[in-house]
This record gives sequence, C-alpha cells and structure tokens, in this order.
Amino acid sequence: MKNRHQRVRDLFLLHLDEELSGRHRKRVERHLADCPDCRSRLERLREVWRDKSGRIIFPREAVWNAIAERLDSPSSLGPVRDPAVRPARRLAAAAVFAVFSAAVGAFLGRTAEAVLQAGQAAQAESRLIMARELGLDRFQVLTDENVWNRLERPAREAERE
Amino acid sequence: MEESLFERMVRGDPASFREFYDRHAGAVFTVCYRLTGRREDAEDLTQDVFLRAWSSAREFRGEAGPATWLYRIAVHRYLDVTRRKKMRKILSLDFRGAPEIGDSKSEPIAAAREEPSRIHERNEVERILRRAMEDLPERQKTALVLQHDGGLSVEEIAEVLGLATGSVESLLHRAKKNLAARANPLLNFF
Repeated sequence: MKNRHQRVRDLFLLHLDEELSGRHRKRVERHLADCPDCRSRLERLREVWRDKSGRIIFPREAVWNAIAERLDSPSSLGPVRDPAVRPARRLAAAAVFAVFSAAVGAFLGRTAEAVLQAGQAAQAESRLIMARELGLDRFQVLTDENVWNRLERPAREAERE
Repeated sequence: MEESLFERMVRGDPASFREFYDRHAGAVFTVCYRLTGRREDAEDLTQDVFLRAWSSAREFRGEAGPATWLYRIAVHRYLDVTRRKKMRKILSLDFRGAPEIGDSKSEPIAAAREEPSRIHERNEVERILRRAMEDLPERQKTALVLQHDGGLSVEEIAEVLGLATGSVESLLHRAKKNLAARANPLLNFF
C-alpha cells in the first residue's frame, strides 16, 4: 500500500509537464506546501526532466561512413536495396509458397482419391447387388454374358413362348 | 528548402543525401539511442533508417515533416527488431536481462562550473530515470521518447504511431505515471 508521499510522487512527471487535471494538481500543490522532502525531490527531478528535453546526441562519423559505403555499392544505385534482407525475404516467400502449394496439392490429391474411392465403392456395391439378384457368387466375374444368360435370355424366351 | 533537397535525393544525388543526413542525424540518433538504450544498437538503427529513407525518398508525400517521417521509419524498425528479439528469446529461452544503458559516452555532461557532487547527483537521477524508462511497456516508452527526446507534439506522435491523438495522450499519461512510480523508490537523494 502506497503512502500519501508516494502517491503524490507518482504524479511528479505529469505535474512537471503540466498535464494534471485540476483536482490532482491541487492535491499535489497542497501536499508540496506541507512537505519539504517532496518539494526537494520535485526540484531535483525538475532539473533533470526539463534539462533532458531537446538535448541531442550525435552519432559518430562511422555511422555516415557505413551509410556512404552502402550508397557506393552498385546495388544501391537508385533506390537502395537491403542485400541482407531482400534475399532472405525472397527465400522466405518461396518457402511459404512451396509449403502452401504442397498443402493444397495434398488436400486436392486426397479429395480426388476420396472421390475415386467413393465412386469405386458405389460401383462395387451396385455390382454386388446385381450379382445377388442374378444368383451369382460374389467372387464370380460379372460379365455381360452372365447378365444376358440370367436376365435377358429368360425374358426373351418367355416373350417368344 | 527541404523540398528541393528531396527532389535532389530522388534524382539520386549523394551530396543532397549527406546534407539531409547532417540535418537530421542528431535527432534520429537521439531517439534511436533512447529507444534501444545502447549506442551500438542505436548506430545500427540510425544507419538502417537513413538507408531506408534514401531508398524510399520517392514515396515521401510531404504530409508530415521529414523528421516525423524519419521517426516513423525508426520506430517501426525498432518495434520490428524488438519483436524478433523477443521471439528469439522465447525460442531460445535466453533470458539475459535488459540491455545496459549506462553508456558513459552518452551520459549527461553537466556544466563544468557545477560542484562534482551536484553533477554526480544529476547524472544519477538521469540514470535512474533512463533505467526505469527501459522497463516501460514498449508503446509507452516509444511515445515518451518521441515526446521527451524527439520533441514531437501529440499530433506528430499520433502520426508516427498510427494512433488517434486521444490514445497518444492516454499512452503518455500512463507512461509518465508508470515512470515516476518505478523511478521514485530508487531516487534516494543522498
């Protein structure tokens, strides 16, 4: 549990940037009026926080030299290409495409196989039903001759009679 | 004028690019350094930012100022690299902790007339604030660095981060409150 000093100190940076709402600002100001320790802390923080704003650090000349070296390379004429990144990206894209293609291919292959298998099963089932109707053994080859002898011939003979 | 500098850059004139670099390198490097916390990382990031600026000068529409445009490249590259680093850490279970930010070369240099104890105290306060800033959530830290070190307005930060101004205000408010809460217990004023 934070004490009242800590709760006010948590608002110090917002107070320094004048971003506190009226109620909170008044609370901080009231506390500071009665608390020399917090007042001292705020002043020391103010020096650093305010002083930091707008302070610029310059890079070493080596940074420009490295950039200039890249500009001088033939690949950087016109828009600069990042040789470290581009081939890796191309490879990654090719790998993703290959994996995707393989997945789609596998899916379609499986689908085609499933359809084929389903068709073959249905055909086999219908042949089995017909074989049963003809009184054939299930392993006997179902030929046009069987069908003719068992179905068509008796029907034709009956017509003739 | 910045426009004509850009026109020359688009034509591929290296001298104009050097002029553009000299004009913005300090601001970009400061933000990169405050984001990464390490001079070497900031130098790499600065180099990357300017090479990308050179390659995409044609795409600069001039809706925002050149500095805002450069900051946007820097922030996106920084967040991209940070995400990848985090992913690598997760994958390799490599928890070496936060990067060191106590780079003496870039630590504040207080006025020579100040007492050494005073200089030491100020440097210590700044070091603590910077360390606490390192631990802020990335977006809070980025918004705060852009405002505090980049000198950007809320509108410009919104442009860089692709957020509404209200969201940036809320992000900055949380960042400053969090930063003070993290730094205060460490600020023992001798």
